[in-house]
Amino acid sequence: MDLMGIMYLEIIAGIAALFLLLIPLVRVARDIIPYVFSTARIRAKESKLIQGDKLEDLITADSLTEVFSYLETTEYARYMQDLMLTGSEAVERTLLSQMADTYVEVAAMVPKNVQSTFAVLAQVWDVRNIKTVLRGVQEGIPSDDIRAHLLPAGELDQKKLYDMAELNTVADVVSALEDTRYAALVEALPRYEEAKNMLHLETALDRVHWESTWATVEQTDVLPLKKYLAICVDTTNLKTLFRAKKEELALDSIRSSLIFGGTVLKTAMKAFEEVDVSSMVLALEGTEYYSALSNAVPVYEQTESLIAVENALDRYMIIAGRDISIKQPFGIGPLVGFIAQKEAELRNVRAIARGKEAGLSVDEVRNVVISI
Amino acid sequence: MVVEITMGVSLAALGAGIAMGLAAIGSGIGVGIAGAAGAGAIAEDPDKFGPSLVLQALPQTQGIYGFLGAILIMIGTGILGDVVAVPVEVGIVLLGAGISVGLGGITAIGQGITAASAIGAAAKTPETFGKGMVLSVMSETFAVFGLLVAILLLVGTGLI
Repeated sequence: MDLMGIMYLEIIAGIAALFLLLIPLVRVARDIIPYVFSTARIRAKESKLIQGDKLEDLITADSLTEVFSYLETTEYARYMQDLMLTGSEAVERTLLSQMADTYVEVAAMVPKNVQSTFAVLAQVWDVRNIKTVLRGVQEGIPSDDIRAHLLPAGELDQKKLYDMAELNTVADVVSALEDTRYAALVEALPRYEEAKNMLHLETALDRVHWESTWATVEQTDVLPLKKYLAICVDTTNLKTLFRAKKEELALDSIRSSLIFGGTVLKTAMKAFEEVDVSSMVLALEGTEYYSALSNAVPVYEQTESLIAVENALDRYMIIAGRDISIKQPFGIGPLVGFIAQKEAELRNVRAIARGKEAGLSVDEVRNVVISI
Repeated sequence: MVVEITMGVSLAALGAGIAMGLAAIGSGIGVGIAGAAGAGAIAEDPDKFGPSLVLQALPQTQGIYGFLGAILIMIGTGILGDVVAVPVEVGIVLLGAGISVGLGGITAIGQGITAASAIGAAAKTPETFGKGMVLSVMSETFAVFGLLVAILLLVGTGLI
């Protein structure tokens, strides 16, 4: 081969190397592109969240009517038409209806490969709906009325839920769940039958839900979702333990209510051995929840109400959701973060509506609201 | 007019192709990413079309630099005019100029990602539009350097 030929080969090799350089760039773009549309859409949705000044307007509203009027200027307006309910119940129904649609809408934005993983977040609607059916059937409410309160946005479809609403006994409803992830609910049925206390079934339902959700998420590599759900499980367990400690219950009596998952269960159960709530918080030093909880202890000690501690945990969860959204700007993070913030909005507006209806002062209402 | 294709001219043409081709890939991906974000913002609020369009347009400039670099190379070598004798060595220099502009154009991908984030930020908080634009423009600097180096190479070889 002459000198010219070698030069040609070198040039061709050089150009090929240039194109090889593009491969990692294309990979980066390929990872980002599926989430670009949904991320921007979520950011636009975040602009409509009731936070900051908007939340303050609601807190300082003179009455529940004013809260209604405000909500009529938001995206909740279309859910407020033809409402059969009144008062804070109407607000709650509006919030839940919009929230159910939000879950469906956000799940549709998720790229197909993570849709099944993301769907675990929407399973919370199954729990809400099953509880509605169980309570309705227990109290003998007509099936049409039960149906009116159902919001199918999870795994259980409308037909399944409507069929369950037709059943005559709580045992029938539990049996109807045999072919679902809530089949284990049957184990709690004897406890319910003995005491006729719905709390046994509801606690078992929460546990089944969170444990099955945790099992699903633990197998995935969708880290933001895993982190967020770990916090959900941890905060649920911590609240259960704090309540039990305040009521001086033994660990064995609440063990069946604890969810086996999350990151701090062992530490939290060890902390439960302490004498009171304040000491329990101290024993949680070293966990990610310690800082948030320790700030709430003085208020707890002053008021002897767990609201401050529970609010601190809820606030931590919301902030964690928002942080996940910021740290991973393209990916599932913004979707998870939005759901967390939307849940906070639901919680806050519902608390404000109930507070206004009960005639609480502005300061009292502000105390039950979580602002970030 | 028929241009006599020598080895030097071939190398220069290769440079022109790379300048335009790589910059087009960069701009295409960048504009695509920003465009998808724009569509997301508009889906929620059609009034976001204006800010989205402005931010989406930013990664297009690298494509323009690529086009400009390619045109300058073609003018310098006579592909678009009178034939100029281009030695092989000069052809290689022009190939380098093309690569400089072309690779500089890849920055449009990064700019597209920043622009997409800025569209999201502006959709959430409209006041951040200007700041988002400033952040997005930063990637442009390196594409400008790429074009500048190409122009200096062309000036240095006396072709323009």
